[in-house]
Amino acid sequence: MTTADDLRDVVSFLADTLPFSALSEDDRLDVARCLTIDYIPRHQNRALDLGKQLFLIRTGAFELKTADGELVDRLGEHDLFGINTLMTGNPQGLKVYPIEDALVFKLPQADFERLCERYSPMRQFFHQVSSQRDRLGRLRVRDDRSQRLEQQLMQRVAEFASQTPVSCAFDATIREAASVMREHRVSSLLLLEGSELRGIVTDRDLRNRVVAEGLDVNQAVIGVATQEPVAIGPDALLFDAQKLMSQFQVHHLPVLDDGRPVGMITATDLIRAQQVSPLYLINDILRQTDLDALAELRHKVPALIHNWVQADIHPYEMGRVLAAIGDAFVQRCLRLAQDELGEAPFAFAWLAFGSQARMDQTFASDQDNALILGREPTHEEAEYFGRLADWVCRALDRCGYKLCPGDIMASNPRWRRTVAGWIELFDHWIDSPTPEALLNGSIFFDVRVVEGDERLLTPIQDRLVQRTPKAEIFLAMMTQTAVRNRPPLGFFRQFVVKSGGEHEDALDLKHRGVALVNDLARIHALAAGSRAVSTQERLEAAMAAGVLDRDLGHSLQEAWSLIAGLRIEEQSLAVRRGETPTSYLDPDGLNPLTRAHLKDAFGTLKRAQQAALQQFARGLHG
Amino acid sequence: MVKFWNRSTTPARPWTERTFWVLDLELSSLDARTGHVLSAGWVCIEHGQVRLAEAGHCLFRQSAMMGDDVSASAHLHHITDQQREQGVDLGDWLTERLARHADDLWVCHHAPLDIAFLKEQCRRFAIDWPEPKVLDTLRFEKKRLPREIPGSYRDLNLNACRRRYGLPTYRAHHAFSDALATAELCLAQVRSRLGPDPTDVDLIKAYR
Repeated sequence: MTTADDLRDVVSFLADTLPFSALSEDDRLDVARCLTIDYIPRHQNRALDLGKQLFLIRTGAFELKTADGELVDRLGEHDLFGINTLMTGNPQGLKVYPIEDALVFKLPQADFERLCERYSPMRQFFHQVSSQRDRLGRLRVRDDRSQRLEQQLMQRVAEFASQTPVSCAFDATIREAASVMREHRVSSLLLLEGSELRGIVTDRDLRNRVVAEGLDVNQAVIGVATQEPVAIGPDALLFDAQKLMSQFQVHHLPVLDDGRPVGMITATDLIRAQQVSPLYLINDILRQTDLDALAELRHKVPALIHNWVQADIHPYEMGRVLAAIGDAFVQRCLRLAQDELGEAPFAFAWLAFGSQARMDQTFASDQDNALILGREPTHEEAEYFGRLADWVCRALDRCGYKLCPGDIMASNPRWRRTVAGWIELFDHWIDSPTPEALLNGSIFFDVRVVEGDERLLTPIQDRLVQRTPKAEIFLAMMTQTAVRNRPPLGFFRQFVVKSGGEHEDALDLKHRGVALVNDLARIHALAAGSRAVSTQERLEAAMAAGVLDRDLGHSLQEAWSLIAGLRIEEQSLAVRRGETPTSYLDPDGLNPLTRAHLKDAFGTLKRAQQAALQQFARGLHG
Repeated sequence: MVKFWNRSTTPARPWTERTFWVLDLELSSLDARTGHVLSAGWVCIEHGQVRLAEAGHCLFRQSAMMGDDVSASAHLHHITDQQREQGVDLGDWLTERLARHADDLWVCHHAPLDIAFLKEQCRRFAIDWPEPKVLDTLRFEKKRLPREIPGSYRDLNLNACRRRYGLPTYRAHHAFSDALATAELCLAQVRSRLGPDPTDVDLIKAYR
């Protein structure tokens, strides 16, 4: 018989490995004695036959993949697998591939069960790992492009149902019910008694059972409604919803949580789920009549982006569509605000600065906005615009566009000016540029009208186009400010990131990537006297005007596309994982080709910065 | 001769159907005629896997046949005097173990040394030597090392061999750790060098 000391090499490894580390020494020895050991060479590049046992990786590495070959997870020393097979029979069909020569410890099923019996925390732990992999696996399955149509139906009903079902009392008349439906522009109505669902009435019911029958519209609506309608739970899959609808020949399903109606899912929702289109979303945004419902729609944006990433949509295109969505939110908020506060006393223009103006928004963009007032306001008018801007900025925050930490928002009275007021401000920046002012102020030169009278911006742009190409000191200062941030070329010398502190060694794709290109594009566009705002168009304009070398310009466009693409891809994945999207990239996850391209891109940025210094800051740089 | 005839006509079997007895001895010297066996560690490979349930380790009692020279090397082998006094009788152990594993394939790292000691001790205790087939993980490795690497001892010690297969480093000079380390090395050799599903005959040839 072996003692704990004999088995020390094995037992001490268990002591460092969850969940065995939680066991007493005696129990660890007991587990160690039950183990078998196997060696799995990498060249055996086929899925392992898992059998009914728990695998514990002593050395080596494995990849966990879905039945379709999508990577779910990479596993290394101290990681476990085979859990799903043991606990649930692995209905997902997850597969395990050795990617390095590996030594594995195996715990047979009987011993695994015995362990779980004795310690319920063990079972809990294994269960958690199992369901986590299950979830990861399902997410990856949804990613699969070839099967997207079917996969869309694997999403939860709650994600697609309308959040606030329209309802009225069950004893209302047909006319009252119809007017509620008209008011809310819905095709179905829940009939409630208290909070309990009594029935559902649809457009079709009104047509077939009321109009066609010539029924008196002052009768109780419950008489023509479907009583005790088929309903569905919020956690059910869209697939289940579709099945119910075709089974019972209905187009509307109330969503009941614990017997209480929490939403409604319609056949149209199912179609939308399958062809997620930004047009549907924009249409939805512009239809909302209250802020709560409008703010709910922000949750649909990540799914859209995810689909575009999967479909390899160019980040430039994504930016344009995201800008259109952002514009729709602003437009709707302004409408709702004016519904509440009254119409604006005179013409104004709602401006977007920065990323929304350039149309390269991604996830979690802050709002940067301002107002051009059509004329000098009276005291009351000025107060009205203050309230309007406050309302809209706070509403946008609820819609997912965070308040600007630098307070560059229309709610700040500094950024509500007449045309003359804005020209004065831009003149000041151009005539007496300071690095500090330009560092915070460069986004003002990326500006676009989102709502209101577009003509108000024209004289301001005319002024800029006329002045900036000749403003040598201004351009020199802009350039010097822009090159303060350098591309992270040093990063590639030791491209290894330890999983320690958050973002500690990660690449900052925003501040040391896309923002550098945006800065360079802005300077060249201002030097070229171009009115273009998006980075791609600015580079194009600068090349056409002869201000920017063609080769360098094209390289910059490619670099921007690559870095912006990687950034939004990472963010989309982070959102899918339930994390907050950031602009940081863990270079460990990159394949060698992407890594080489990224290195090239940063090299281009460096060359472009040096060229810009030469071109615009000669004699001033030192 | 008859015995040999019988054995060689036994049809080849998949290696996973054979039991392997993987053994390591800690010795007081390299000379079987004067040295002593201090301890033994062993594990079995069954169905192509190391089974820790079929494993053991024991220290042998200091007998009249063991000289006083033991203490120096015993220190190196993590063995205290007390442990040796409470240890197992080597004769009993040999009788029991050799009978049990007579039909198994034996595995050692640098087998000539261990086998010489076992044979010598069997002669002294008058125990029949079972004539086992022995696989030597060191010899296997030596034959397959590229010629440009000098076959010095350093390149062929247990941990150096294990590193070539990505196996972890275990504690040195402990009979059980070394037996386990040898068993894993043997698995690694068979699984990564001998193609799919070799037979026991293939193994014996490969380790010859």
